[in-house]
Amino acid sequence: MIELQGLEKRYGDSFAVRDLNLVFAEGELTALLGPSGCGKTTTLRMINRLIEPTGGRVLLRGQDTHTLKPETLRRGIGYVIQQIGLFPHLNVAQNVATVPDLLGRPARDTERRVDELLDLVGLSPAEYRFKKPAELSGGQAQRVGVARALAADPPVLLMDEPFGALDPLARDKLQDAFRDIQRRLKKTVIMVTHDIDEALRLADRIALMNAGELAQFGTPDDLIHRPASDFVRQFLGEDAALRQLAGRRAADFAHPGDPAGLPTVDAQLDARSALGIMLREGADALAVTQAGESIGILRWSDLQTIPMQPPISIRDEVT
Amino acid sequence: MSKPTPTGAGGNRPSAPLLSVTKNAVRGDVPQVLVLAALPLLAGAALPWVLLRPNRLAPGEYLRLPPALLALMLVLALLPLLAARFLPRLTWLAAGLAVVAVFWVVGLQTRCALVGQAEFARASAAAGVWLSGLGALIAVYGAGLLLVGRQKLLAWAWVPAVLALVWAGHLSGWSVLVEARNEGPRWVQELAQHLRLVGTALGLSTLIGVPLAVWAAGRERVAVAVLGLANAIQTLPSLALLGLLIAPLSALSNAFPALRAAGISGIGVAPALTAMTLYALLPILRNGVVALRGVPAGAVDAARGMGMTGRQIFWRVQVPLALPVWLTGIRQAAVLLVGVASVAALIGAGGLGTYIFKGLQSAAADLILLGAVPAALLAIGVDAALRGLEVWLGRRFGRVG
Amino acid sequence: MTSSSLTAARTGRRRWPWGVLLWPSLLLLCLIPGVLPRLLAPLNLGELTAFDPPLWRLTLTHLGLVALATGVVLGLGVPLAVAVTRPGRVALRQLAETLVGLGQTVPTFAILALAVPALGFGWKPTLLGLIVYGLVPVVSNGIAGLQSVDTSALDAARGMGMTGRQRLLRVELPLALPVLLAGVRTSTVYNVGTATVGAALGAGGLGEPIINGLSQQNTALVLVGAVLSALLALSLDAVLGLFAPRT
Ligand SMILES: Nc1ncnc2c1ncn2[C@@H]1O[C@H](COP(=O)(O)OP(=O)(O)OP(=O)(O)O)[C@@H](O)[C@H]1O
Ligand SMILES: [Mg+2]
Repeated sequence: MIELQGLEKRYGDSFAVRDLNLVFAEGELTALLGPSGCGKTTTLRMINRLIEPTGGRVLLRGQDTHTLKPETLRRGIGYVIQQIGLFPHLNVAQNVATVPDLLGRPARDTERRVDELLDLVGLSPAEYRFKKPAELSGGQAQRVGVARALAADPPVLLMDEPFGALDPLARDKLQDAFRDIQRRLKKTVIMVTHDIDEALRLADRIALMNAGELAQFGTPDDLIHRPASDFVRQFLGEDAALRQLAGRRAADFAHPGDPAGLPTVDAQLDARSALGIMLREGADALAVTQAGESIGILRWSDLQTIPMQPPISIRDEVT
Repeated sequence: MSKPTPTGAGGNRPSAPLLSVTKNAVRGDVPQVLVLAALPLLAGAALPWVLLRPNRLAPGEYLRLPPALLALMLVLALLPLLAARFLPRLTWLAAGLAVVAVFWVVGLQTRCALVGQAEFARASAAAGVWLSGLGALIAVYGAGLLLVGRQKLLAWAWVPAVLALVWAGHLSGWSVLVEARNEGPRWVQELAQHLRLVGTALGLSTLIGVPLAVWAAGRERVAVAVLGLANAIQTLPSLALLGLLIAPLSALSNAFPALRAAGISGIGVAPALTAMTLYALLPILRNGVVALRGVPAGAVDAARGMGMTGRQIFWRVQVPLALPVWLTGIRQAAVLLVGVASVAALIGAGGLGTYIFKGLQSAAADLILLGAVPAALLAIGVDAALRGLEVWLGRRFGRVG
Repeated sequence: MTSSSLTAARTGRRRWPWGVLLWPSLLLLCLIPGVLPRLLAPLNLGELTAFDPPLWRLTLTHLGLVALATGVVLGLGVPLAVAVTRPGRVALRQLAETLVGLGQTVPTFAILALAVPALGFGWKPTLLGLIVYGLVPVVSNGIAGLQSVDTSALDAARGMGMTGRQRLLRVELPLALPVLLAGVRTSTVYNVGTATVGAALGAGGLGEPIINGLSQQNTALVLVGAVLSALLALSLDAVLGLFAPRT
């Protein structure tokens, strides 16, 4: 879907981004991960040409973005900027409606869409529609920023630390909600973050950057179990595997099997806690239950590989 | 938007940095200013430069530049731009040349025009001169932006050159200077009178305004009232205010003939000075109150906590912190006064305004220029000088205001 | 824009600010023939004969000059402020700021008088002076307002694919508007005062009684002009204040 070929940005004598080659697959969420100042924002902004590269090119569905008018390109790509950047003179609804307006969508549809999106990011439309950005908390503003990027239903979303200003609880909720939206709508998302947990939790693939260059590109599993360098290992930390489990539900790992005599865990419990229960109980398998009924069993060995999609479909309670 | 150079996937990237940005690179935006300067210069060259009249009031004929001078002015119009492009370090010279050339050509053309004319004939500058002069000054400004630090002085190199032209008598045919020569010592007197009026009024209003501001700043009610009054009076026309302030004086002198004998009446220097003093009092008082009240309460508290006395707090904390804003008020007052003093001629107080009103009454443009241009330059000079003083004082107090 | 439908609700209806009418009604009262002379008579400051032209004509001339100047100032000043605040035009902006500073420093009377040789006597040089002088607050406030627009909002606008023109119309100008309007207000109110000086150039207006009064030493006459121009200034200030956004 989006392909970076030898992408480079140079400021004076120093490189902000250097020889970056990456393919972001359609419908996947890729995290751009790395320490502060490693060039994540620069990379993201070169994709929608807010920054013009000094070398290399960006292909969008095989087409060089350089052949497109920047405005046209940007209107088809949702963008959540790091500083939120709501328009202070417009209210929440008007902020969210900006891109549909630019695209000339009918006002009535847009109005409905605005309410839908506000609901989606957990802000009650009735209460927040007419508030001005100055009346919002940092986290609320950030959610409006996410809604605004989604408003025109773009197939591609670029997000620069979209959940940075939220408290851990709200962040977890919004992250879950967002992952569901993304899975359901099959958006291609590139999300900048320096939060490892966030990347492990949300991303299908992670591009780990260091000092402007790509350190490793792969699934969270690849990075954890097959780190390409010491930097990757150190950046993720020795407990990366555990942190990865913390971001998944026990149900994601469950397989059909006989639950008889096994300690039970709830399907919504995170996998790390499930592992803790195995250690405590001295068991090497657990029965996974949902609403009292067994939906499968979870073995010790199942936890060693993270499934991309849950093998067993479960009823979704988090939205 | 600069286009990226597509190098293709994994294309060779240069290992050595490309041309590094030179430290003294030409500011890319200065040529815009030089283009803006070239436009009036080009237009001015094509317009008439001299208005020749048989005497100072009669209608006259407009004279254009001869081809050779026209060509010269056209070349000089474009020279700063070309210099900025190819020899950026000499842009100031090209722009300065344009200014000097304007004066030189005015001198040359007025003298040529007067050859064979009667004694009362006048040759004055026409639209072309004013436009070209404006363009040349903009070019000088643009050139100044290319200079840094001490070099900035080079942008003023044209001033001594122009003064030398005047000194050498090259401009003696220009009607404004003819008037100036005729007026001679009287003009100097009026200038001195203008300065005296401004200086006295500023001195008096500072003497009154400073203690008054200190007194008012400490009293909540008074301070609010003072600020409200000052803001309301700001909306009043200065001319009207001058008139209004004179009213009580003239009423007094009407009532007490003794006062009139002492020189206090509705016209003359005394009412003008009174009015000007009161007028200048406003910015000094307002900025003083604002500045003193703007001193952070924390700083005063800390000083009190250290055991400073009230007097020490005032001199060591409040005054240094309030000074920059206060000085700005005094500067505003001074600039205002230069303007008000030129209107004061209307009530017989003298000053440069005398020439403006004389010129307006007799429809003599040269006389107006003789009063208005020096008044404008005086205001700019006073503003610059007081700004300099502010910076200097700011440095002495350890920070730049 | 959907904005119309989205803003309609909530804002509610503003209460009509009756206070605004105070100054204009006082002004109208003073313009009724005979009212001002009668009010000033007890002060015993001077003779007030019948006015020719009548006071309301002088006031209208005055207002017309100021309004015309404000119109031209808006037409010139706003595009100018926009033009010099586009990216890559720092030098032009510095030039504009310097010129504005000069306009503030040079005495009004000198500006007006300097326009006479170019335009002759009457309302023309006065109008030119008013325009030059009126441009100062509009351009400087316009530049300040446009410069203070939050860069992250602009960045977001660019990221959404707004063109330069859309950014200007939808983000920059609305955000700069309060400061810009304050500049327009200052410009208009000060120009009421400046226009009185125009009477010295034969522009007519409310400066005429002031100048006549000063030269004839008739304080009552001065007072008539001063009161009326002050009332005009306060009226315009109040009316323009209606456009100022509430905070
Ligand atoms: N306009 C610029 N001029 C010069 N250097 C720049 C510019 N913008 C970014 N850089 C440099 O490029 C590098 C990458 O910056 P970038 O904003 O992409 O970092 P980041 O990975 O997003 O960091 P963070 O997590 O702190 O947001 C940094 O070292 C930065 O200093
Ligand atoms: Mg960043």
